[in-house]
This record gives sequence, structure tokens and C-alpha cells, in this order.
Amino acid sequence: MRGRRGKRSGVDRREEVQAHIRLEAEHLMAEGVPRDEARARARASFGSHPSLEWGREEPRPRWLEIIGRDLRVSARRLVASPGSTAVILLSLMIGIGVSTSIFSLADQVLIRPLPVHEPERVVQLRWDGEFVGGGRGHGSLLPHSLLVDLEDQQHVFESMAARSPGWVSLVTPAGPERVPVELVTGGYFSMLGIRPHVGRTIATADDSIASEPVVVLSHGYWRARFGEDDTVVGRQVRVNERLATVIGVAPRGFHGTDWSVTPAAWVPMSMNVVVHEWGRLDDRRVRFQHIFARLEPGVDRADAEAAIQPWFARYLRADIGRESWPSGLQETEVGAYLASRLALEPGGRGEAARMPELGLPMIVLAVATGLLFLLACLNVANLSVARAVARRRDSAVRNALGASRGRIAGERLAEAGLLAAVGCAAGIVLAPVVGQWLLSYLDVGATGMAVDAGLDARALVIAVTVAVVATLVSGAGPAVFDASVGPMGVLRVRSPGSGVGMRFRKLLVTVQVTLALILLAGALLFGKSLSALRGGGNEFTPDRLTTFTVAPTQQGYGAVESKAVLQRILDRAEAVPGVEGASVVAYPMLEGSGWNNHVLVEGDGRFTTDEGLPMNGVSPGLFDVLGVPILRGRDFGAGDRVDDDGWNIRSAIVSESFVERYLPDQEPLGRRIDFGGDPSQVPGIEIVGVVADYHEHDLRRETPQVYFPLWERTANTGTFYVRSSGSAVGMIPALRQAVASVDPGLTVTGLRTVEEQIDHLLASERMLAALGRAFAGFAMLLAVIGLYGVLAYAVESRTREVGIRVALGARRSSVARLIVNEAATMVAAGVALALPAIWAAGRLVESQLFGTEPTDPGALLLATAILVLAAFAASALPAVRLARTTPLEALRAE
Amino acid sequence: MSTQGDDRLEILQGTLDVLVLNVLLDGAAHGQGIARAILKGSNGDLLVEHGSLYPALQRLEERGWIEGEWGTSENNRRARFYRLTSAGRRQAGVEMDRWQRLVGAMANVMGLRPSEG
Repeated sequence: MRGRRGKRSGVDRREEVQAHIRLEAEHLMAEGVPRDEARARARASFGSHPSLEWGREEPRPRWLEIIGRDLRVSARRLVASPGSTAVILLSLMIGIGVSTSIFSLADQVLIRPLPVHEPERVVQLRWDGEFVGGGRGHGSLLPHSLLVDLEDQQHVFESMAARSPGWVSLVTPAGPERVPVELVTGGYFSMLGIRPHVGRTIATADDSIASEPVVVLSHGYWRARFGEDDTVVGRQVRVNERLATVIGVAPRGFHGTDWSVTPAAWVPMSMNVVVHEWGRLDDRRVRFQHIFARLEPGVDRADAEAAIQPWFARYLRADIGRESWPSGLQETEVGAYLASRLALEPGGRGEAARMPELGLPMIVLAVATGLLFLLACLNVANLSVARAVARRRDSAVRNALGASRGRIAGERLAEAGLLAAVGCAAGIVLAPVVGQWLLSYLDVGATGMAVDAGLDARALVIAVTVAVVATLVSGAGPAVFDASVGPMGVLRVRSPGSGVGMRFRKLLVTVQVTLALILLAGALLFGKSLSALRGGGNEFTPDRLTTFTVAPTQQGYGAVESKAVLQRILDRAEAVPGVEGASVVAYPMLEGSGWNNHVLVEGDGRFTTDEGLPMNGVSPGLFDVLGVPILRGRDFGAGDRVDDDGWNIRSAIVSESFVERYLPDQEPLGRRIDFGGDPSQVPGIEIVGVVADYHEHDLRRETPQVYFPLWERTANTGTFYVRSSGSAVGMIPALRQAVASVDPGLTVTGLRTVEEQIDHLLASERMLAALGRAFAGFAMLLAVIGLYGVLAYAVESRTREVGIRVALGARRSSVARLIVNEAATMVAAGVALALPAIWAAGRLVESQLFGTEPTDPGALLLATAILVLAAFAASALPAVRLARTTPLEALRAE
Repeated sequence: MSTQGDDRLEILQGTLDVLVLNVLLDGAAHGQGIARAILKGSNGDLLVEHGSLYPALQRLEERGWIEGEWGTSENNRRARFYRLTSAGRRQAGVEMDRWQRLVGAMANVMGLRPSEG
């Protein structure tokens, strides 16, 4: 039974104490003390000393056990104040979860380069200047001839390639489906340094009109449709109406040069005629490609740019002498064209055309996330400091009684560490959930965007580190500070509300108010912008509208038959019960793509429009179906129809803004227009009607618009719009049935309600608005909690002062005002800081706001009012409590 | 916590260790015996709060100055007996020397300034 040092059990010790008590009792009895009293006295001689409790495991003071005990004590303390513990944990969880997931998305969209060989050497060409016929065009869309000419001439690029996006109907053993593809020139894969996963990639020999059609499948599509079957190489698939041979599969993770789309396959540029029904790649007036190049090793981008300018100047001069150069241009227009430059932009992150559309929202998101994270950390700091300060006296007394400063600071550190650990763990759990939620807004499935909800490890590490440091510093910092002052220094401070801690906390709250107001104003602005985009103004009404697309020529019909098929589908759709009206157009509305051309106008003089205008071919009755009023003239009718396979357009309807811009103060009806920019031509199409402006082409941009009769041109593809008397969703099965009744083999794509389509188009705006609301909500909550915490604390520390005031006859309202004033000071300072910040930030997001200004006084006023109201509510409770203070209570508080 | 409400002196902080070591110089003893020995040795002036004795014993044992072992008391009770280790024996000398210097120093100080005592 020999006890070894340090290894004794608690039971053994308890036994020893019991033995002691027995011995002591017997000793007392031997001195004549009665038995019961002797026992009681023996036990009492131990007092309430913990050695009586030794039967339970009493931790020995070793460092591991000290930490264990500190953690247990901390856990008990944290549970004892559930309010501030919950807020700290929630702040950490939201801060880490939201910021990590958003950064991970933003990284994929904005930061990460393409998975290509030496991406820093890849550049993208951009036309910097004027295009033919005036009007600043899309600078990165270039004619194919530019690539061909430059490839022969230059010496600064190692290799060059062009790409162009497209959608095709791809028929695999799994059936037909509409998928995105990337049209690429023969040098594309070798220029990027992409090696095939199996088979081979597209080579120069594949990229000619004479070569057999080929496709390279994306890794994801290969896995989804062919089950990663290696024998797919050599098999045939159908691309629109042509058979093409699968020659290879791209490596996993390669999604082409546009991050916003994951192509299912790559096809040679020479197959443009298959994809876009247009094969004249050598047409110098058509710009449809993005051109990329790889710099020679060691060549600087700026030097390369300078080196190609002389060549480009020659190219331009040669161009204006060509036969295809439009005649009748003014000298200034030609001069502007000749002054164009060819810029080289970093291309390692891919095509930048869609960047402004989703890139800026991502930046806005990232900034908002940073602000929210900061707010969360401030809240953690504020509450941790409050907790620590509240125990300063307690700590000082313990310090004076002999507890070492290290032990006291250690306890604080344990408490802060526990908070940080639990909060961070919760944040890490939350992050993927937030990521999934964001992706559902981004609608990845439909747009094929190459992003996933995977978390970025660096972001997680950074967020967790910052959160942990903030928690530890604010939790243990005051203890360290007190240790340096010494217990007397701490105890001498009578009012804890006047210390450094309080000033610091007030500053934190002011910053929180600032951040909350910025986020709130942002949320209101984006909300306003979204509702402006969704409706209002001269809009068509999207409710009860259903749309779908059928492409007969891609399924074996000829041009004349195609028209008949579309007409039959239209007739069947109109006959579906519940349908009020139906119409068919050549290009789907709102998608920002389709038919675009310069227009020759016979006004006071003959001229070409300064920019290409969106056009569409429409069947009679479209405007009725959409609910858009015809302001003058007439709709197309049964007479506007030619049933052959050519183009015989005789009449046009133009939009209100077309008249305002190109035919001001003139009678538009009866005027003649035509396609193209050649003023030597005599226009032959008569304007028969003027229709109200509506967002036909692009939700975000309103331009003058021209409509032609669908039946006076070839109609290879038709997009239908059907207005029903009841819910649009309910029409979908019946409309699918209607198409099948014409030809069960026809593929129906994009069958959905127009509201769905708009929601999809506004995915980024919806995400911004929804996130804005969430951000603003959390920010307000955090700021109000911070404010409340400081005020409640101020009340406690001023109880004595108020008691004296009340005793001297101060009115309750003047006492309450003390607290309200304190709140008002912090809120006013916060608002004063926030408004200039909003004004400055507003200019950056201006392009993302529709129908509203970043300095919209209504929104700013509303945001400020909401904040002030919330702050007032937060200060009401402490103010009332302080006002109820009686002198007696104040004395008792001492 | 004073248990008996009498005018006995409480043991100054830090002095319990030297007292315990001193008692054990006379031979092994159990906890209650040590407490009684201190009370008796001080002619009843020093009251050992029994509750604080055990942490002291544990402390000394962990430092390797004393060793505990279960045995049987004079009246046939099981009790844990403590005895000095050789390190403890040396430590007892060191502690007693230090205590004597402290007492001497305090006596000198108080002797020089008796009126402020």
C-alpha cells in the first residue's frame, strides 16, 4: 500500500482525511468530549476545506490539468452568461462562414488563372478605338481576318488562337440536348498548352472547311454522358445536323477561356457554319472572335504591344482600300478608324467580356463580406472586453490575495480560446452551407459556370486566424493590461465605465454603426435596382407568359418546311385551352444575343445608324401577347408573309426610341430603312408601325429596336411566347404536348415561364439583393447588440451618479436623456463617417445600379432612419432602467 | 476559518511547512498526530487548521521531502504515516535556519522601533 509520489488517487486521499477525522474524534473523546460532539468537532476542524471533497477527482496543479480546469471553469462561466456567449459565437460563426465561402467563390471568378501552361504569358487582343461606321463596339470581339493576317506577320507571339462561344444541339446516346460549346482555331490547344485526357485535341488540320467535323469533349461532359469510357474516341455524335467524330477528351479542370461557361465540347472554328449557320469567316466586317496569343519567352506585354502597332497601322490602311469597305463614310469616321490601336491585355484568366457582369458583383460581395467580418470581429472584441473588464475587480482582488497574474491571464486566455475554438468550428461547418446557397443563386446548373462550392483553404486559414487573434487579444488583453497596472491601480478606478475599456468600446460601436449603415444603404440600393429591373416603366408584363424554343432545321427540316412547322406549332399552341394568345420570334428575347446590324435610314437625308441595333423577326400579334402597346400605325398581319426560303422583307416596326433618335420630328410611318451600312444602297423596307419601348434585347440596357415580319425571312429557329389566362407554370406540359403533336422528334429547349427566365437572367442581381438584405440584417443586429452592451454597461456605472442627481431633484426624463444622448453621440458619429463612405463606394457600383442613383436620397434617408430607430430601441431599455433608479438603490449599489 | 472561536494564533502563511518538517524530525507521524504535535509543541497557542494540513503534506510529498505510507495507529486505526526523506531532512535544516534568521531579523527591527509595534 505504499503510496508513490504524485500517483495517489482521490479515493486514497479521502480515506486519509476520514482516518484523520476518526483519530481526532477519538482523541477528543479521550479528553472527555461526548461521542457525537467529538465527531462533529473533528469534522468541523476541517471547515469547508476542499480536502473534504478529495474523494472526487481533484486536479493536481500541473500545466495540463491547469488548462483543463481553466477550460471547465471557462465553460461554466460562458454558460452562466448565455447572452454574450451566444452573440460572440454567432458573430464568429457568421463572420468565418460567410466570408470564407464568399472569398472562395470570388477567388474562382476573379483571381485564379486558367489552368494553362504559364498563364502569365497569355494575352488577349483588344481593339482600342473606333470600328467601321462609327460607334464604339465591343473591343474584344475581333474579325477572324485579323488573326489570320497577324499570325503571318508578327514575331512577338509564340503562337496565337481565337475562340468564339456557341450553343448547339448535341446528340449523344443519352439523347439530344442543348449544350454550350467553344469554337476554337486549330492552334488553340497547343497555344494554351492543354494536353488531352484521352485521344487528341483539335489541330490546325481539323480547322478547315475541307476537313471532317470533329469534337473534343470536356472531362465533365464525358463523365456525365459517356461514363468515362475511353473507347468514345472515334465514335460519332451529332452536332446540330452534322455528324462529327469524337477525337479526344480535354483534361479535368479545363473549362475553356471563359470562366462563366463550362463548354460541353470544343469544335473547330471552321464548324461555325454548323454552329451558327454562317461560314464566311473571311468577312472582315464581322467581329465574333476573342483572340488570344502567347508571348515569346522573355517578351514584355507592353513591348509586344508597341511592336505590333506599326503592323496594325498598315492593316488599317489596307482595310480602308478593300472592296468590302463601306462607301460613303465621312472623313472623321475614317480618321477615327485609322487612329485605332491594338491593345494587349493579360489573358491568363480568360475572356473578360462577362467580367463586368459578374465580376463587379463579386467585388461588391467581397467588400461587403470583409465589412461583415470586421463587424463580427468588432462585436467579439466589444463583448470580450466587456466580459474582461467586468471581472477586473475580481481579478485584482485575487491578484492581491496571491493568485499569480499569469494564472489570472491564463484563465482569461482559456475562456477566449474556448470561445474562439467553438465559434470557428461552427463557422467552418457553416461555410459550405453558405457556399451552396450562393451557388443556388448563381444558378450554376443552367449557365454552366465553372465554379463550385469548394472552400478555399487559404481563405479559411486567414479568416480563422484573424478571428482567433481578435478573440484572444480582446479577451485576454485587458487582463494583461491590468497585470501591468497592478491590483491597486485597478481597484483605485472607482467607476469602471470611465476606463480605457469604455472609450475603446464606444469607438468600436461607432465603427460598427458606420459599417452597418454602409451595408444597409447598399442593400436598399440593390433592392431598388432589382425591382427596377424586374418591372416598371414601359415594360411588358412577364406574368402568365411561357416561352420555349424549337429549331426545325437542326432536326432535318429544310428552310421552307421549317417555316411551316413553326406555323403549325403556333396554331397548336393557340388551340391549347387556357391560352389567350401566342406568337413566335426568330431570337429569344432578353438574352442579349441574336440579330444585330447597322440600319440604313432614309430620313431627312440617307444615313447609317451610329451603332448596330438589335433586331428580331416576329410573327403577327407578338406585341398583343406581350402587352406592349403599338403607338402608331399597325401590327404585322397575314399579308406580311412570303412562303419561300429567301428573305423578302418589305415592312418593319420600329421602337419609340428609334423614332426619337433617328427620325426626330418626322413622320416615321412610310419612311424606308434597310440593313447594313452602305449608304449607296436605296433602302426598301417601309416602317408600318411604332411600338412602345420595352426590354426586348437586354434587361440591363435599352436601345432602339427594329422588328421585321418573321414570315418574310427564313425561320430556322423559333422562340414562342404564350400568354395564358391562368398560371404560366401550368401550361408547360400542354405546350410540350402541342409541339409533340406536330412532330414527336422535335427537341423543345428553354421551356419555362418568362418570370423564370428573368429570374435566371437576374441571378447576380438577385444574389446581390438577397445577400445585401442578409448582410444588412446581420450588420444591424451586430451593431445594435454592441450599442446595447455599451449602454447597459454605462447604466451600471452611472447608477451612483444618477442616484445623487435624483436625490437632488433631477427629473426622470433628464436622466433617461443621459443615456439617449450617449447613444445619439455614437450613432451620429457613425452616420457622419458612413455617408461620405457610401458616396465614394457608390461611384464604384454605379454601373450595377439600374433605375437608381448611388446617392439616392430616399434610400440613404431610409437607411439612416432604420438605423437610428434601431439604435433608439437599443437605448430605450437601459435608459428606462436608469431613469427608474431611486437614491436608495444607488446607495445600495455601492 | 477559525473553528474553535478561541484566542489561539493562526499559523502564518508559509510557516506550516517548516512546522511539519520539524515535527517529522522526531519520527514518522500521521496527519492528526502532526496537528496535535504542533498544538502541543506550541503549548496550545498554534492552531493548525486541519483542512490546510493536507495540502501542505501533499505539497511536501510532491517535492520529495516526505513520504507517506499507510500503517496502523497506536489505537489500532488505519492511518497514513509520513516520514522525512533524506532530502526532507536536509530541507528541514534549511527551513529552520531561514526561520531563525527571519525571527531574529523581526526581533531586531521591533527592538529598534518598539513604539511603532
